Order: sequence, then structure tokens, then C-alpha cells
Amino acid sequence: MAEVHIIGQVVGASKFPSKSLFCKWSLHTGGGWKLISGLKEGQTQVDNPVYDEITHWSHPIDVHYSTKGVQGWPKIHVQVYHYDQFGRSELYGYGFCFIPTTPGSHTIECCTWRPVGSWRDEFMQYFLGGGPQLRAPDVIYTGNDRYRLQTQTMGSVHFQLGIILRNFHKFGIET
Amino acid sequence: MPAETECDASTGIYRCNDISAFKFRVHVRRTVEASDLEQDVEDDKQEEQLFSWQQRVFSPREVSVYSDLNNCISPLHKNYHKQIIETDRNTNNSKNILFSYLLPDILDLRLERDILLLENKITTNQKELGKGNGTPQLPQTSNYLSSDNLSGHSVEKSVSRYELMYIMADVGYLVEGEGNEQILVVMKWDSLLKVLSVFPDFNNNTSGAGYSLEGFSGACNQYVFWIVPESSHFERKKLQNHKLSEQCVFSPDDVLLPRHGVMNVHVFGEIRGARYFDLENIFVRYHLELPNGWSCQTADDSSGITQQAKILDGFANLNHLFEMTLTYNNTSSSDDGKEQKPELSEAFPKLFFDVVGLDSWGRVGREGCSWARVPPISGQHYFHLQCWRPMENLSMSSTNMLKRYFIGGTPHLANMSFNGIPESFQGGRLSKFGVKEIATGELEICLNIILHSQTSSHLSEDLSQSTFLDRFPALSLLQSVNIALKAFLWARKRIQTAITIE
Repeated sequence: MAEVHIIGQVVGASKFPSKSLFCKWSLHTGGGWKLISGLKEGQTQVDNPVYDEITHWSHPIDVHYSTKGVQGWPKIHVQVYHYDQFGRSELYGYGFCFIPTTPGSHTIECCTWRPVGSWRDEFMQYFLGGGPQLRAPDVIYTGNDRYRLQTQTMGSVHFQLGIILRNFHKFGIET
Repeated sequence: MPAETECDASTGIYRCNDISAFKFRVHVRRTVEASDLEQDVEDDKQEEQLFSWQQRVFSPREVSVYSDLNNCISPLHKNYHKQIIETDRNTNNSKNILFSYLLPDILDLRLERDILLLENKITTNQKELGKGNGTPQLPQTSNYLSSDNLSGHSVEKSVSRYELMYIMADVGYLVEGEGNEQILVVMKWDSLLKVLSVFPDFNNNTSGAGYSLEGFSGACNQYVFWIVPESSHFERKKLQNHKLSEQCVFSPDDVLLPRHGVMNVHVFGEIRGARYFDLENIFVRYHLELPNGWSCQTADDSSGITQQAKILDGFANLNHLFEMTLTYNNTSSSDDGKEQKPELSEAFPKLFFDVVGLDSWGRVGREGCSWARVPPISGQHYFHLQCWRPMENLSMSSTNMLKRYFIGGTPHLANMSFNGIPESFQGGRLSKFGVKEIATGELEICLNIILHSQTSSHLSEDLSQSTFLDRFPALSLLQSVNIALKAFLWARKRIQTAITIE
């Protein structure tokens, strides 16, 4: 049985409109995967950098999966929220990316996006904050029905991940 | 038997490479609380027995049964009879509680149960007929033997990978004169994975908390037992290090292997974003084109459309993930390969991308197209695809610009495959002279590739220098020869057995 270790951290975020951010992350896999140990989801603290342009979270990820097939390779999903001075949190971006399939150390940049509403929504958002969110988060996971979705480019989330693969070669899988 | 609901009784799974030297102690003691009710000869009854792996220890009942040769029916029983006679001469220790069962005994027990059921059936039948003389008869010998062979064979075949060992306790036989066997420990050794599983798990020492033994008919007798691996043979510390979590151990049969001669290419792709495009909103359509011999397992995934993204600072994040499993069948393509086959790495599927712009009026126009070949090397690949769109004429004339600005829409390719190498193209030199085009922007994609085939799993050690693709056709050929040989040997064996029977 092939095993995957994902060890690393959510380093931080950059290029977002404001810097006081926090992030929810979770790992998603297909059916043939089994979580052996570790936490597959988490939420970071709110970081408000004073000098830097980059928000740093340094949130640890240490997960051990075992699998019986390659299909459904783990994906990491992030939701970035902005936490403002009044204590409100608004959505700043959804992001999704694959865990690299090669062993070794990887720096990953996950681009994020945010759904955009109508003119009225944007007008309200400008003055009141908040903003549209996805009612069904499945849209992010599947990626098939996104066609009608209007989105806006947001910043990116950075990961530093070490991947250790075990027994893949034994089953004829070239990674 | 330790109750399975008991929280501290869990299966221990250990990785150990050599099981033959493995020894362990089982210690049974009667608890003090029940002692006021006891009517036994001995006061403080406890027993410790050292078992080595696959050692058969006989219970007092078995000793008394098998010491009489008349009771021994099967060759297995006769073998036991021999063993018992030998051990009896050496030591006279027939009052033990603990004993062990091995795989043939477990099979035998099942058989015995089957026979008993059969016996009951026969006796009831006889009673119904009025011919019964009271003594149960064994079913016909031929019948019995055939069932013995059958069940033994089939079960053995299915569990030949495993060695089983049951540690049993029988208190009732000595106390009450009738057998009351209970399973204390079940041990299973998987010779393929080199994994030993023990239920319940080993104890650290005999002084700590043990497992209680419940379910005896004499409820006044409460027993506690411990199971400790023998330190001299099986270091506790080493054992701890090799302890595996239960979920970690899967049998290799579970792994989904592609069929022989088939290569699976798993593509985990991401359309990251687009930049330098003119229009405010863009989305990307993509589709996959499969050459001869290739197929896509899930047809739905082979094409798709991303969401509409607004460009900010010249960059639009699309962040669209797709997952494809492509299958290359080596055997099918070699059959109809009369014409010269291109190199396998050249004949990988291609992904075509079509960037579509959407302006504020809702007008849709193709802004650019590009293509990428699925890389024939496993790993992570980043692409920065330069996109272009065709133009009616080459001059950047104002009429063109005005037309585009006011009417919207642009000329586009009738056949998307013209983007790369056209489908109809034959010959040595591809010329696209005369096509007018303009560069529009750049598409950023990332593809994670995993190659999966059966051939690489067995014979790859000596060929590790060459790449996966170089050896894939050769190895699949080699494997088909092997399969043919195997089939031939099997057929020859069948013929030989048929001749000997005749």
C-alpha cells in the first residue's frame, strides 16, 4: 500500500488588498485514500504585518495518508478571510491546488479568487464591507460547474511542503 | 475470550522480518475475589507457558483423546498421537490450562462441526424412518474424505499466505470434567507483508493490568491473563519501533494496478491564470485530444470551462483544477501498426486551450488559443503558453480596430487542431505560411504527471538507468512472452495430470 506524507506549513499570503488576514485550509482526497494520522484541516491566526507586505502564518501541516490508487490525489483548499479593525471578517478568496506528485520540498503558490456580485453588491461592499460568498462550496471542489461564476482575481497563498512517498515504485507508479 | 468491547483490548500489528525465532509467554492467573467460592484442589492457580511460533501444545482433553489410537481418524490425528506419546514419555505435564491451535486444527474444527451437523441430520432421518438403533453413525467414508479434501484444499489455498496461531484455554475440563475451550489470543502472520497481528495486543509485563477472561460456565472462576513477548528473542524496544498503526497495513491486492500492457497517465492539472489579455473578463475552454491507442477513463473530464475571471493588474486568476486518467494500450496499437509508428513520447495526448473574452456588453469573442502536450515525464510541469488569435489581414488598420471595438468578435479558427499540428497533416514539413495572426496573451498552467504501469513494478531494478518510457514497450513485450509461457506450462500440467489419471 502506498503512503504519502505531507509535512510543511502554510507560510502566508501576499498581494491581497489588505494585510490583516487569516486562512482556513483543508485537504481533500478521493475515495481510495485513508487518513492515517495528522489533521487534515485547520485555521490560522490573524496576522497583521506591520513592516512587511506579506502576511505570515507559518501554520504547520503534517499529514500521513495511505492510498490504494493514484486517483483522487490530495488537494489543498484554502479560504482567506480579512479581519478588519471592527472585528468583522469578510471573505477574500477561495483557492485550490494539488499537492505536488513528486517527493521533495516544494514551494507552492496558490492563486485565489473571489466571487463578484452585481453593481449593487459591489456598491454595498465598498461602503459596508462583506461581500458575496459561495452558497455551495462544492463549486470549488468540482470545478465543472463554474462556468457561470463571475470572479475577481485576489492574492495568493504560499505553502512550503515536503512530500515523502512510500511504496509507490513497488506498484509500478512512476512519480 | 477477551471481550471485544473492552477498550484496552486492541489488535497489535508489528513488522518483523523473521517470525521463526519468535517466542512469547502467556500467563494465566485466577483472581482472588472468586476464591471464596472455589471448591478446587489447588488454592492459587496460575500457569505460565512459553510458546514458540507455530508450536502445537495439546490440551488435557486432546491428550486423553489422541493417546488412544482408536480415536484418531485422519492422518493429522495420527500425527498428534505420535507426538503425544513422545512427549508423554519425557514429561508428564497434562494438567495445563493453556494450549494452542494451528491452522490445520482450525480447519479441522470447522470440518468437525460440519460432520456433526451432518450426523444430526442422518440420525434424525433414521429416527423418522424407524430404523434408528440409537448409535450415531459417521457418514460414508468416501463422502467424508471428499469433503475433507475439498474444504481443506479450498481454505488452505485462500489463506496460504497466512500462518495462524490460536492460544486457547480450557479450564472446564480439569474442574468440571467437560471441555470449555476459549480463545485467548489470535495471532496471524502475513508472510508476504512480514506483518504479525496479535489480538489482544501484547502486555508490557505480567505485573500490570491483564485481560480478563470471561464467559466460562463456572462463573465463580475469574481468570486474568497476560501475553508478553519473550525478551531474548524479540526485543520489546525493537518491537515498539516496528509497531504499525492498523490502517497502515493494507494487503497489496487492494492496490489498483492497470492491466498488463496498459499504461495509465494520471494528469492533475491546474489552469492557474492568464495575463496580458485586452478584455476585462476572460474564461478558458479546454479540451483533450487523444491520439491512436489512447483513451480517457472518464470522458466528462476531458473538457471543461473555467469561471469568468476579472483581470486585476493584468493578471486573471482562474485556479481551475482538473483531473484526468489517460490510458495507453500498447497491445491494441501494435496490432494495427502497419504504418510507421511515432515514438511513444511523441504520441502523447495534447491539451488545447481557448481563451475567450467577455466584455461589459456580454459579447463573447475568442481572444487566443494555445496548446500543450501532456509531458511524457512524471513530475510537476509549469507551462507559460503564449496565445495568439487569427486576423483577417495583417495590417493593424483602423477599420479592423474599429470593427473589433464596435461590433465585437474576432475571426477564429474553424478547426482547433490547426492550433497545433493539424489532424489532416501528412508529410515532412508543416507550413502555416499565409496565416495572419496576432499575439494576445499568456496562459499559465501547471500539470502534475504520474505514470503507472505494471511493467515498471517488477523488472525496473536493472533498468533504472533508462527512462520509464524507453522501457515500457520492451517490458510489456517481455511480459506478454512471460504470460504466454505461463499459460503453456499450465496447459502442459493439465495434460500430464489427464494422462496419469487415464
